[in-house]
Amino acid sequence: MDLTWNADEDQFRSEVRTWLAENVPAEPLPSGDTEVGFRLHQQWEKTLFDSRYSVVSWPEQYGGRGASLWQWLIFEEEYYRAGAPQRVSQNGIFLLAPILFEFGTEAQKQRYLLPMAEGIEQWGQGWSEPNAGSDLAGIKSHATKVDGGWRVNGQKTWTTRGAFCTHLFGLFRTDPDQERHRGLTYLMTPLDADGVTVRGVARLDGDEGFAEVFFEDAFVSDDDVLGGVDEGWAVAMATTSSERGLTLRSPGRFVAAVERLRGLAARYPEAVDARIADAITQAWIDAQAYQVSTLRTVTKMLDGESVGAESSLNKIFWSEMDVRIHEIALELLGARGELIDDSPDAVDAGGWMKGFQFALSGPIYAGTNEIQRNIVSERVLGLPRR
Amino acid sequence: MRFAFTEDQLLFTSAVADLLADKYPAERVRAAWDTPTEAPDDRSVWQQLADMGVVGLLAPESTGGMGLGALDLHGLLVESGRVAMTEPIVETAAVAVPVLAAAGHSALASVIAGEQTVAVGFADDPVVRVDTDLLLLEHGGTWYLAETAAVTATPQTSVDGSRRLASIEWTPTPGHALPGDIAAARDRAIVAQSAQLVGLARHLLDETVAYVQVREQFGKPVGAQQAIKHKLADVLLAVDYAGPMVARAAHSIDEGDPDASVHASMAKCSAADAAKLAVRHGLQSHGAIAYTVEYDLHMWMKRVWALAAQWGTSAEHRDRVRQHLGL
Ligand SMILES: Cc1cc2nc3c(=O)[nH]c(=O)nc-3n(C[C@H](O)[C@H](O)[C@H](O)COP(=O)(O)OP(=O)(O)OC[C@H]3O[C@@H](n4cnc5c(N)ncnc54)[C@H](O)[C@@H]3O)c2cc1C
Repeated sequence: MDLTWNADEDQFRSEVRTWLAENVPAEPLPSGDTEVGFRLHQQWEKTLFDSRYSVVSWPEQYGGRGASLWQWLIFEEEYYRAGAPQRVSQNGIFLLAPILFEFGTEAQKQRYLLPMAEGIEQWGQGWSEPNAGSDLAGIKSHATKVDGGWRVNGQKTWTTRGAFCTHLFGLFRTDPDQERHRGLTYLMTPLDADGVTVRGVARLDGDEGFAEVFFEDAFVSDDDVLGGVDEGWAVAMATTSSERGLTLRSPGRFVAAVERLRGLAARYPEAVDARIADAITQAWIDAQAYQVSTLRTVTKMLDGESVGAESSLNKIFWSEMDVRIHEIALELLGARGELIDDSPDAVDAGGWMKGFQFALSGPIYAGTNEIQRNIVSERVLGLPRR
Repeated sequence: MRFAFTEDQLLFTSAVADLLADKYPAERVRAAWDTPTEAPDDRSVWQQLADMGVVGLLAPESTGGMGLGALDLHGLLVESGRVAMTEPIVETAAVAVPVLAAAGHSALASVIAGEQTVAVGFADDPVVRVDTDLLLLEHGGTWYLAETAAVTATPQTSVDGSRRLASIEWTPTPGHALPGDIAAARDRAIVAQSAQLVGLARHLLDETVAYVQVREQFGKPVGAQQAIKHKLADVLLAVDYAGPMVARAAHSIDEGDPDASVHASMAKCSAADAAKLAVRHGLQSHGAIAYTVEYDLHMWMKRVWALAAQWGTSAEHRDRVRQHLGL
């Protein structure tokens, strides 16, 4: 066990910290789940990219720094500590890119990675459909083989920031005779293609952060098949563990959230009774536990061990911790908690209520926590499926 | 940065696990329940642990110990919890041995050799376990070493029938005083107790997972029911996040980390809360079979209830963390 950072890592941290201090916008950007805010966040992604901070762990040729997993963790800690903007590129850089690196052809990597790192091309994740949520294998959107590519029909839904994205990756049924997990293929498509219609949908907080995407005889080239034809399920499953596990929600985010909560408690000491103080303490302990457990996970990954179904434990842990952090904040704010936007008396511009609403989606997206508990009990504990 | 046990630590732990798997069946714990007033007459396991170096692990090599640290002891303590070991490994190996070693006390050699065991008590809590040869007792911020036979003991009955407790009366004798850092010893105890609680929780979970796969109702294993699955997933979640907290705290002790006490407190509430959840959901998932003393699980459940509150409750430890945070 060695829980110290080496000189290079310390050096990296201080470079990141200095850069963030000089570059993070002084005023928080408007929500990245609105048209205006999204564009500003996209510019921020470009600023990150220009200093090679948008995808630190990627190889240099694609705009990264070839940073180690440890450096990536440090970057994330500093990023959230600095209160830097939401990462609107996340679905591309964290969910699609790992698949491109693993299954993509050389041409696909050349074509897609750099614009993604730059934030110029923004990706939506097209998995869910009106009748395929938790039961993802129930996907009905289908692609029929035509000359040079595929003709796509069907509908995706809940696509995060789909109304502002340029591209979509997702699962489509390519073999109608196959059932469920078989006969699915991973496809990539621009959203401005003929036959593709995107309709923005307001989320719980009112921002247009969702979209429905309709395909009517849209054409997708053979070049945009990711992984093998009819092998989409395996490709999809390769990302779920990175999504649920480390990359999507690193510990730095929650450590920073609890620090903000402590800051709130310091600003409103009269609202901090023994019960709230105890709850904040537990939240701090939870964030520490997530951080420590992540050190263990990263060590395992570097040792070449697979994390697999255990990443479901992570997903449950961070998402439920996030809800608690925000519940405590709202409890602390009391009647002020309902005030949002530019209400004169809103605390932190209503950010805690907004954060609370977003936190509530954590146990739903990336596979609901009920599904994660099924996975943990069946694949980690070995309980019978039925 | 590297969060993993060393090859040596893993080997040592598995050697102890093998010994305990062989020599520490549930009957042994039951035997301790059946003779509640007597000290254990079978010292063979303790002797073997001493021979392996476990008891003197924290003492410097120059004194006959192994000169190792809290993290080296961690895995062994988890295993001792898994089998619900009744012997005073936390008190003797994690607390007393370093105190005796630092004081250069003559009893150290026989303790390391497994000939004498030590329990620990504090002036503000007169109830201590008295199934040891010696007592390390705190009074006015100083340690004293007393012979257990020399104190006046009024037996107390624990919910855990294998624990031999008594409230004691004794007068500190200046000649028996030992120098030593009480707070550091407490932190070692807290972390060691946490490790045992993790082991207890793991055993409760393992037993429950095994049981719900064989117990059938409505034509299928009860473990196929989602209500049961999700409870057990929650137990795993709690245990899986508590484990690293305990290991980290042990590491902090070894490194002299200024926050070692805070890490110890976090370890204790995480481990105790996980173990209590393992009891709650373990019992519920078993149904009535676990609600009888004829089924072994109760011994693990009661051990958890007893130990979760030793060396500070979860509430007390969260309060230490709260103070650290300035809340
Ligand atoms: C903020 C947010 C962003 C999202 N972004 C995207 C995106 O970018 N791309 C995308 O493709 N999707 C996205 N989703 C959709 C998300 O993946 C789905 O919501 C999720 O998979 C659950 O599907 P569902 O909503 O249809 O719920 P359902 O599957 O209908 O489930 C309803 C309820 O039943 C429970 N349930 C279902 N099956 C079981 C079972 N077997 N055992 C126990 N309980 C069960 C669920 O846990 C849930 O509580 C997003 C969702 C949210 C909230």
